[in-house]
Amino acid sequence: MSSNLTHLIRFLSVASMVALSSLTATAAPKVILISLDGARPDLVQTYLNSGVLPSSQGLGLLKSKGVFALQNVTATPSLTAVSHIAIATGSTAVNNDIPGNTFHAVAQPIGNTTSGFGAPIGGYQFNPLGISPAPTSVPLWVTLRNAGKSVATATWPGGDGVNVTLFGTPGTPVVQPSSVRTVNYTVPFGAFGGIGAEGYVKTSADFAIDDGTIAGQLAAAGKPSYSPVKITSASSTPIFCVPAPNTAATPCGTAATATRTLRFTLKAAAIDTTNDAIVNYDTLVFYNDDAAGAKIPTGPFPLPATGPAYAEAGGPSAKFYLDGTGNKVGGAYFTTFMQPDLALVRFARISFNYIPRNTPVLADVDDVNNYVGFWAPQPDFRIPERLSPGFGPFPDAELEAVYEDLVKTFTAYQSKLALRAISRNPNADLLMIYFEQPDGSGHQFTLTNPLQPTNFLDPTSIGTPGNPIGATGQSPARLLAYDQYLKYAYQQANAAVHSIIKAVGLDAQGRPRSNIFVVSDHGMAPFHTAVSLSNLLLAGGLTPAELAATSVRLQTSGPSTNVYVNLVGREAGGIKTTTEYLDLQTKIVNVLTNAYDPNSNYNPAGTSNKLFTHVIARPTSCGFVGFCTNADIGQDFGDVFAMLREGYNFDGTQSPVILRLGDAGPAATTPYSLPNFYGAHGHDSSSPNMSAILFGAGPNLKTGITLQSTRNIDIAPTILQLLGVTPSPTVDGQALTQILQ
Amino acid sequence: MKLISIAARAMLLALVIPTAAIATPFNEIGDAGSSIAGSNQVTVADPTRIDGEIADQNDADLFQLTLTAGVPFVATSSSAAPGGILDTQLFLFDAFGYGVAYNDDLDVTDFFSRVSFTPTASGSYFLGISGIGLSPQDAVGDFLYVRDPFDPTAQLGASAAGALASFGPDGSGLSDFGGYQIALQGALPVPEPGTALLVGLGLLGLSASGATRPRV
Repeated sequence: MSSNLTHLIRFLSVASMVALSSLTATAAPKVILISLDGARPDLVQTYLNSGVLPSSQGLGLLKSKGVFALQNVTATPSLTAVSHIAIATGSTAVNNDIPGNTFHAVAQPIGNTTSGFGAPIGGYQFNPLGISPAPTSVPLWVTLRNAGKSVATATWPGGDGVNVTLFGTPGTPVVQPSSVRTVNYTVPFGAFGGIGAEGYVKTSADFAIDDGTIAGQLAAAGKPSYSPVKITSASSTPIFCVPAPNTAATPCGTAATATRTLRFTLKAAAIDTTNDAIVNYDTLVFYNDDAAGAKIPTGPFPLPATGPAYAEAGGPSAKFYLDGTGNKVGGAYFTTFMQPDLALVRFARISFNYIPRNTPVLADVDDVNNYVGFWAPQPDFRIPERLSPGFGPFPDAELEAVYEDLVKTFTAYQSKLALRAISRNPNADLLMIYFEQPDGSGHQFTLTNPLQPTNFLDPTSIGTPGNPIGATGQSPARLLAYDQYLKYAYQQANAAVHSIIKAVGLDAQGRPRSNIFVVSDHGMAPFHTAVSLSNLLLAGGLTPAELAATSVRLQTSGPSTNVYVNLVGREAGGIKTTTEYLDLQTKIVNVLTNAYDPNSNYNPAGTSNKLFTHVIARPTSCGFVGFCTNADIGQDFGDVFAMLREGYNFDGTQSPVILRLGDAGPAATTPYSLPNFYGAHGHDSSSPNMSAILFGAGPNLKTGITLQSTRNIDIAPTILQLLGVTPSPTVDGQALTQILQ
Repeated sequence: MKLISIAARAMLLALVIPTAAIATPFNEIGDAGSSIAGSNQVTVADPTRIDGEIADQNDADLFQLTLTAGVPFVATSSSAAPGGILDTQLFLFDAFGYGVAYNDDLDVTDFFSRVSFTPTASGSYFLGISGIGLSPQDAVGDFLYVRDPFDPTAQLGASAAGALASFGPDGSGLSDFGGYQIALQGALPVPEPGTALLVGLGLLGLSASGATRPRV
């Protein structure tokens, strides 16, 4: 290298470092609000005490240098969309009108639903259908921006740049403009690209010797194989996607359409990366056999491109970008098992996703695509539960290894996205960041109750041998493994928090230079029983006609449910008269109120221990049946709203249904059965198990404060007060003034 | 000149490659210093691991190793405690203390470190480890490396600053300390004193060849 060139490179390097140094000094948004989905305060405390979480990093650091709450009561129902909107607005679900992760907006036809993540915050005008002139709640980012403050949201629910409509309504008018859901830097949460997870099992007969083409290209790419390259198919069918510049809500699929014209035929080349004169294949290289140029391009690969996916046996997962897709779609592959002679090979395709390309936030979406990468594959419960095709022959340990890899790699992706948001908005007044873990792992691995089956295909795998009668006992190995998986999820989430603390640095007192709040949206409780709401109502005496899809909608979200009656004058196309409405509502309330689990293995208290903790009917006292609201029931809550007690969940019913130990059956009509996962939330938010976390530290927060109990709706007014902005009158919470200095 | 250098390298390699390598961890002797003069010399045959401790937030440890031209060298930190967590930084300096490689984090949520470097010249190098927030400075106080808080996984190469003089707080306010392990690939021990003269010859040859020399 010439001396001049050397000096130039050094100069540029130093110039870059100086710039970065300057950036470091200023990159501290005034407030950073982080949500760790599903984090429980008691588990965090236990893990801090036992050293599973370090006291010097992440939550431990925030606790030692600031404030934390023993209990942070979240929204009711304690669901992800509901609680995040409650945190963002400071308003209850009744007032912000997000009553479930999925719910039926009453202006819709009874057959349609709305995602709680994409629903109008603060309601909509019912007649004529449109934007509410007086929203019943306001996101704090709207209040802040109206006050001249800057806000960035990194995948926070509600910050998505969407023009909200209600599917199925006449004319589908906009009911919330994108301006309410767009801030200075807005990154929506990722979406499914149309290609799901799939498992593949191959034997040596499935591999053909390469004619030298792929081997040569691999060598040119710096990835030589020291045994003959062998090739196999890596997909059941080709993948077809919408090419750039066009986009679609579901951009890819396994069949060509008029718009999905970009074809990918995925193949896997087995290579041996060890130059040891032994045939021992150890890596699969996934590539597009339809690529116009070299099938194994040499790179470099500017993001979001990845080039071929080099997936070593045993992990980690290797990302694969579908070049040329308009939505910028990508996924990953994981080689779970590989005999050195290829006698048996197993690998997983992990689902392909993208960041929604909503027009008002497109620049921010592409900023992430180009500097962080395409939306990384998320931890996917369909893999360990074998709900996705092809995973039947895979051992549990391999599927759990895939899941754990995704916990790590997706949390790292979200952390990089968060750091990008900070670097692009170093002087933001508020940055709101969402992390998916530990929620996914909590659902998957909260195996902490003796009545939970350690093998969800075997109803006897509960308790201890003979207790209850007929039980063979839980598997100690499974209990231990799942405990470790749960700890790992909290470690990853904690590391995500610490990566943000590292980015902003600490002041002389050891506090983050930003005021950092870390909350969760809810806790997590173990459950042992999946409940079929329709079977429960049928068993209680309602008729199939009364429960027909044209009569009522049974909309469940976790262990909570909103039941809607298809009311004339309310639902588009409603058919039930007021009298019929009241009759149905009464019958449903009576069945749910009196329901109890008859299986004494699970409910030894019998009739005295009711199945639901809350069964609430929409009030009628306002005089307009079907439209009345009160402190428990908002506009788009069900005509009956109910929450199961802990241990029970509406999700998790298997197909075919598996009865629990002692259930009478028959399986086709049983309300109760063995679930295929373990953790639930959506119960009464006052339960300790449903509690959210609250940690905070920073230059404007006091040190050494332990709060006995807070509410998630207090977070928004606290942040507003810290930033000197008056809350909207719609805010229900109160600022935690005792923690501010 | 080049012939001398090649000959010296050959002698050096012949002398330092152990005939019956036994992988034994090198244990930090006392508190390894944070300067070239106070560094520990790694003398175990076939060094594949260093065990040590960052005693406090002001402690950094330096270890002298021998690296071979063209042979990739990789050092990866971890916690001494199984499953433990420690936020480290790894640095590699040449024989004169000039920075040649640096890494803060393995991944954005994995705070251990890894430096990778393929030398063009064989000879002595110094591997440094510190907790986050403590970084090497030259004689006039300039930091050899500035950590990018938004890309902590960056693998930085040659530093533009002067030679290592000390370690000091980098202004981030961050710190961490504790027991560590450093896994090594591609490293050789420092030659025994009896071979030092020949090693010196080798270094002289390398220096004369221009492979490694002080900055001006």
